[in-house]
Amino acid sequence: MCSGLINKKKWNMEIKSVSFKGNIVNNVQLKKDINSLMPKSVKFIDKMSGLKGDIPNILIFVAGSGAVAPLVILLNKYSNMEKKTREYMSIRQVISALVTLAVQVGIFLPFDKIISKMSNLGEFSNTKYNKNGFQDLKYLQNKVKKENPHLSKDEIKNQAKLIQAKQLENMLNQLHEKNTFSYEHQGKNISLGKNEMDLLIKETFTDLSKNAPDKKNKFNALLEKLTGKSVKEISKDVKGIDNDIDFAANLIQKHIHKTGRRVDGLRIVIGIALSLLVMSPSIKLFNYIYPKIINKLFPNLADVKNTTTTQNNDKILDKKIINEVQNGKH
Amino acid sequence: MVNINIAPKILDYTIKKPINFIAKSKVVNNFTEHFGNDNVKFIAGVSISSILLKEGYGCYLYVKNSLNNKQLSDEKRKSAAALDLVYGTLLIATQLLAFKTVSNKKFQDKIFGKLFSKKFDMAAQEKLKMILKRSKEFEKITDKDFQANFNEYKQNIREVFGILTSLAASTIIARRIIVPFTASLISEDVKKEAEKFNKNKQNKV
Repeated sequence: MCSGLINKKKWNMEIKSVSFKGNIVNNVQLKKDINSLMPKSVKFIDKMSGLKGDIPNILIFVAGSGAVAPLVILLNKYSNMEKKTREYMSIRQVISALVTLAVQVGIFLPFDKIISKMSNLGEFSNTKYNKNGFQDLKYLQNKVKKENPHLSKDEIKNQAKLIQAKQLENMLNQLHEKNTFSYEHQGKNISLGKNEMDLLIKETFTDLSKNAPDKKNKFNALLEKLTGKSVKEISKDVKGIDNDIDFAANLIQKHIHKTGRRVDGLRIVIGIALSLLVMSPSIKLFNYIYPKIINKLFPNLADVKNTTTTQNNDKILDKKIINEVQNGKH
Repeated sequence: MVNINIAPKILDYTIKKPINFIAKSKVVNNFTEHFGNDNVKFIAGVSISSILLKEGYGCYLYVKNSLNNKQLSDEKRKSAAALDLVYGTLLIATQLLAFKTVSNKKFQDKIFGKLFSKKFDMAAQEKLKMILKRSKEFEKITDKDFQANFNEYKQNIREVFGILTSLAASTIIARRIIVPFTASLISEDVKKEAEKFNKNKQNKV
């Protein structure tokens, strides 16, 4: 647990411009008071903040796919499908939604959580995807909750933010002492390569000049003279252009952002591969179970294979012809 | 008695090692680097390709499985396949349209700006700051602290607004109302056209 041995003064100065997935300088009461002074329309949107996240997405999917869509098919009087067919198809739609839900919850959601956990624990062999030096707020909150189940929601959030703050301070110290970021990885200390650091510094400068176009020329001039300079020296030069800019903090934010986005990209690749792998067996499963379910639970909608009916009809027809021939009618 | 240490090992070998293997690949690294660099065009291209690939392949599988489902009567097979074909095609179209419009960040920014710009502009911020500084709790709050928290509040509102817009327009109205309504409206016609086409094909043979 974080003991709070953090240089709070330096902390407040250094961390304001840096934000992980949630801003570290977070005042919950202030935001509540800001919200109370907003008009009804904005307050309504704030109330809907609970829609963010995996669980609400799943509930919305279930409601939409499993209830709204089937009802639309069932009640569509303009359709030229027979009423029984519409009923059959709407129940089929509900079963399809349930199968998809099972696949989402059983396969995709766990994979997503595993990737996130691997990144936060630094378990990727390719360190580009590891966030163990600056873990996600959500991951830290879950960790704090497990270790301290008796704490309230706000206490858990504050503890997690303290841990983040300490991690940030470590990163700042590394930057000033070693001019790079380094992590614990499988028992070894891994640092970001020189080329990668140079690129990161260049990209941070590009972002700074984009955000302050009136100072673009000064930033560009400074960019050309960076070779061999330490992060401390660069920070001092940047303060000469704009005293409000903490270059080291911006550099950290850039690094955190890039790593986070790479993990997002990895999630998408694995998500697409998984979708294509799982699609065929899950659709086959769906096609296998839904006729059985409908025939059992809704016998009035039960589908009789007309191949059987056709064969029976043919047999009856054959018998009739044979009888007529035998009776001399032909 | 089950060895509780087996579960993590199974997870390691069946899931973590394959994920690690994929993460080490050069192709995947090049792909994710575009995300790291916020390459907007590339990311948009990936989103569109993903929609076409997943929904297109899904549509093909649904139609194929429906046509070959021996548990169903001939009529039901054709009805199910026709519905799946129209449903899948419409889903792809609505998702692409939504991607370019209601789910598009620039589009949402424009709408958010039109609806709420006056609630979050400098004048509104100054007014709020003045009111809050009157309270004992925030009388000593710095301008930078207020700005940081106000920006985070605004960012949250913007994100939820985006979710609500996508939810209402794309997820609910388009995907769960317009698509099933249109699919159930025209699928029988598609089925009849497909039957005509097959009959003509057989007659020619």
